[in-house]
Amino acid sequence: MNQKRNKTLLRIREFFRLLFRKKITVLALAIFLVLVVMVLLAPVIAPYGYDDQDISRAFTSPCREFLFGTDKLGRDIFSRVLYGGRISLSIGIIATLIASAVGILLGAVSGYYGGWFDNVLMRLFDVLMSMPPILLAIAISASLGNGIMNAALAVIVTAIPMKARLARGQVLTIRSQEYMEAAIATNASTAQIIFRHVLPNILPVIIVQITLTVAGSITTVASLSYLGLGVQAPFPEWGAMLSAGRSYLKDYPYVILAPGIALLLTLFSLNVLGDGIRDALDPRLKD
Amino acid sequence: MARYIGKRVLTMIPVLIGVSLLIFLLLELAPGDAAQSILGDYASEESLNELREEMGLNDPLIVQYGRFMKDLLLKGDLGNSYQTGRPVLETILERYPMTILVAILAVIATALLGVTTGLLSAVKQYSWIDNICTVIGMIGVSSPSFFTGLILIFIFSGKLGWLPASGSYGPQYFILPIITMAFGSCASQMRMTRSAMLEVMRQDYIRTAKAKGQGDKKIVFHHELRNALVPIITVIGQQAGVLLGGAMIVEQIFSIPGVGKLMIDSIGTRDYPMVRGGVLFIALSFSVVNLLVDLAYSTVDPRIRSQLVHQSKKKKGASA
Repeated sequence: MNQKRNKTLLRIREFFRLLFRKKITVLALAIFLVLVVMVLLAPVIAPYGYDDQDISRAFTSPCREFLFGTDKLGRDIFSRVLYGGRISLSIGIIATLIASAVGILLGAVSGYYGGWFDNVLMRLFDVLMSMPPILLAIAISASLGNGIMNAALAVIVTAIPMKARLARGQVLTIRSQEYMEAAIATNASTAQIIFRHVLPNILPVIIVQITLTVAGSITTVASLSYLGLGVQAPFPEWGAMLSAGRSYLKDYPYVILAPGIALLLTLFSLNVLGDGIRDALDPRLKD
Repeated sequence: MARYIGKRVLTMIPVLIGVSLLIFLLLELAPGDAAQSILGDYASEESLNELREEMGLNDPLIVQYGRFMKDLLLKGDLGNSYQTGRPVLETILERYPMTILVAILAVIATALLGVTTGLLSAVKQYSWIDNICTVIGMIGVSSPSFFTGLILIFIFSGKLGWLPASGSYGPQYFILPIITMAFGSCASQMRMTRSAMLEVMRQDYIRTAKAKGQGDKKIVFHHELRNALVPIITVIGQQAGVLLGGAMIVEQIFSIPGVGKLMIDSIGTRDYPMVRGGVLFIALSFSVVNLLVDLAYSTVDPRIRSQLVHQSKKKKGASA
């Protein structure tokens, strides 16, 4: 048992060594951690509430008091970006986790059992994947109406088929491996096989996917909000802030700059991290 | 080959029926019904009921769906817009060329930008050019199209006054939207071109070409790029679908009157027949694009073509 733990520790250390080999990955991780900490500490750091209005100070240029300026209602953009990050990041992460859990389980079970369950599920996913993901998300938001929860649900439904397909493909590959035969031969239960043999073996691929999906989910929510279908005023989601600032772009470009850059930094760090993790987990995938 | 195409077209049919059912059911969930949308929020319950009865909205869902499909398949009728009363199909067909134009221009721009930068990165592997291309590509992927678009509008339209910010009245109106889309999607093209090129560059026949004194340009374009083409086209194909979806958002940013903008505006006015028609049209286009891409591989790579033909022959033999 001890030996096994040592082996795992060694593997984890090797993973981090490979991950931090590239400076840009370290930078990305640093950016992401700083963003997460700032967003978590929003109530402490933010000088104002996200909805503190004061028309008399509308469109104040960035200055010491208002780091990123104020918007048309005189709300502090810096505070709004911080609170907005809570919405963007939490939807991105939670939606991804739910979609991954559901998708992977469905995919793993359907790949493992095959049969009619597999057939029905895959045809359903064919349908969901026969449209561009953003179109599906738009259609779902249109039918459920606006709001944070509905936007999150749209993101989840859009992300599930990809995860399920991925997990299913992986399961089909490892099902024919010898260690699976061995597990079946030792009379292991199905749950045991799926959770102890199948899932751990498809984990590396899944982790990479999850990192990239968080970025994708944040983009989808921001896009929906930008189109007026997602998070609504007065909540300061980044895409919604960009949408609201659009009309004042020419005279007050700073209204879109802060939320846009926050979004860009978040997605950039997640994408770079995802790439880094992929290279570290599977050196063969590297060019 | 014809057999393969036929089979692919046939498998598209159930999927598209599935899409129509899905979107039909989704819009049933939507707030407010057709009668309400047509008569407005202040209509009396009586007139609402009358209209519902007339439109068959009180029938069971399955009957309504059947009627919708019958009209669609037999008459090519997608219903009328709640807003304008005009046939949905007519309006969509008017707007459709714009969406396709934007998507095609974006695919071309993405391919040009991605392949060029990918080629540069591969030929100058690990140089500063390689690094800069990679980082810029990453920023492109990470910047949502609406942010890129707004920044471009601010610089090139607001500050410099070189290009128009919205509308579609001439070629110059398409420059910013196309750059926005290409910037967002060129990275995967670049990455694929780079790794495909690097793979080819390691091959023996490249060494042979070099050994016989072939010029650098000829090696890169004739020997290397040509052999790296299949993965490059694969990504162009994948991008084509994504860009079709992306066109919907870009249309909204730059006020281009395509199907995407039509659909999103229709969601705002609860004009559900229009939304339904728009989704069906885009989904159909997406499936057709994917089919065309599959067929494109086999034209580029004779190995794939012979495989397909071989497969269908084998199947034919088995069934006979």
